[in-house]
Amino acid sequence: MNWTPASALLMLPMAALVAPTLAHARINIGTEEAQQRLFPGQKFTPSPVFLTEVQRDKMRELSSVREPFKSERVWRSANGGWFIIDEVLGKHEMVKYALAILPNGSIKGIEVMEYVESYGYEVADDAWRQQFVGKTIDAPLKLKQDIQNLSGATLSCKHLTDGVKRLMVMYELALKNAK
Amino acid sequence: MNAMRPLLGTYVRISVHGAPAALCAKAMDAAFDAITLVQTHMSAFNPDSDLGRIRRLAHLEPITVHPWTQDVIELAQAVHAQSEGLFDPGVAPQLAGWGLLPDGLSEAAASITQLSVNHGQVTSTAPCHIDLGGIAKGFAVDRAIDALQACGITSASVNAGGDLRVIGPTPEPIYLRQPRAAEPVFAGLLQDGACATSAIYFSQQAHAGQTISALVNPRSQQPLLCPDSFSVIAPLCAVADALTKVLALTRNTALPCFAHYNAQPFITAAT
Repeated sequence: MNWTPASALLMLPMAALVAPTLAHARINIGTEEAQQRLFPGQKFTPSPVFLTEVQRDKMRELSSVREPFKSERVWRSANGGWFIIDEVLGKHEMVKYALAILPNGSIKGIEVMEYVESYGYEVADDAWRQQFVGKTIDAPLKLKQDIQNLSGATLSCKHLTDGVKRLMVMYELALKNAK
Repeated sequence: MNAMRPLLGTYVRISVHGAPAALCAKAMDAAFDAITLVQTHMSAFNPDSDLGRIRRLAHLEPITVHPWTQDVIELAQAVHAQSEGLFDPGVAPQLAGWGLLPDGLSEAAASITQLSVNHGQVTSTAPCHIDLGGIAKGFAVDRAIDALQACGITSASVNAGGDLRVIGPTPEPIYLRQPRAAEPVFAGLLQDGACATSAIYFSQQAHAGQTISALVNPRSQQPLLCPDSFSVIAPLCAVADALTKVLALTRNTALPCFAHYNAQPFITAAT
């Protein structure tokens, strides 16, 4: 183990090299990649779902998710499974995710496709960052815009869980008996 | 290659570098499987998990648990001893009473010291409701790192909702979540180690006219309400995770238990 706190780095010229860029914890995975992770080797057919008002009401009622579902983001895998993309917006995070449902109706897996945490919803004290303004970043410790190693209090994934609940309601109402 | 899945009640992210894509994918699957296994056995939300069975039955008969559950209980007991009782998963009844854990039965305060573990069997001196939420996330991160390494991965990070561990030849920048600030705070560079942080900014809430949080002092049963972040760097994530509670409750970075575990604590003031 080797730990160098930021305060020690500030003493070194290297400090300029580790200034964060616009930094957010985020992840970005495309539709095809998510499909192959959840159903490796399968081919997919777009299968947009038509939802009646009654069905949409039921999905809202049983899941507490309010945002409308975008019905064109449904695919059928060659083996009869379902691949569905949805988004949830929490107080602190936006998550776009894919849900894979097996032909027997059980959940095969969930893969987060996009994840962005929000910051600055209260007044920001960016004094630390200001020290590095105007200094360029061109060093071995090149920072990506993406922060992999973000430590902090645990952020609940309840919003995503609610989203999955809603999609499973939709599966029962509209997909289960589809030809 | 990056992947993120909802596990342990939070977003778990794994990043693997410097290996062919097929190997990365296989290793990440193995790592997520290890985390799922920890979740299955140590969930406080599932009455049939090892924890659920300990709570219901361990005072009546020996309960056979998964070897990892035994490992976590033994580590929790060791940290409890090293911290003179400041780390104790026995705060579960208080958390349940506040609605932060399921079914708030009125149970007496418990302690991890009530449990005896022997050859995969757990017994308890009294009904024992424990919550491993303060250590099992870190333990799951360590098991995921093991799984990656077993697949031949040498450079990776695993982050379970803020409790993380990195392996590899390059020091990795570590940031702290600061929800009130415009951006995360750069904390330092870490190579081959773990970082965990406890803070109340997501769990603080009102309950029956009282302000509560998910951090409870096992001695007073009172919630921690200080807005600062309490972080610990340590070789293992389970240890870092557990020691953040000790740091949060004492605000004392000079406690012998930190040196005992080769850990480096630091406090970040809320912005």
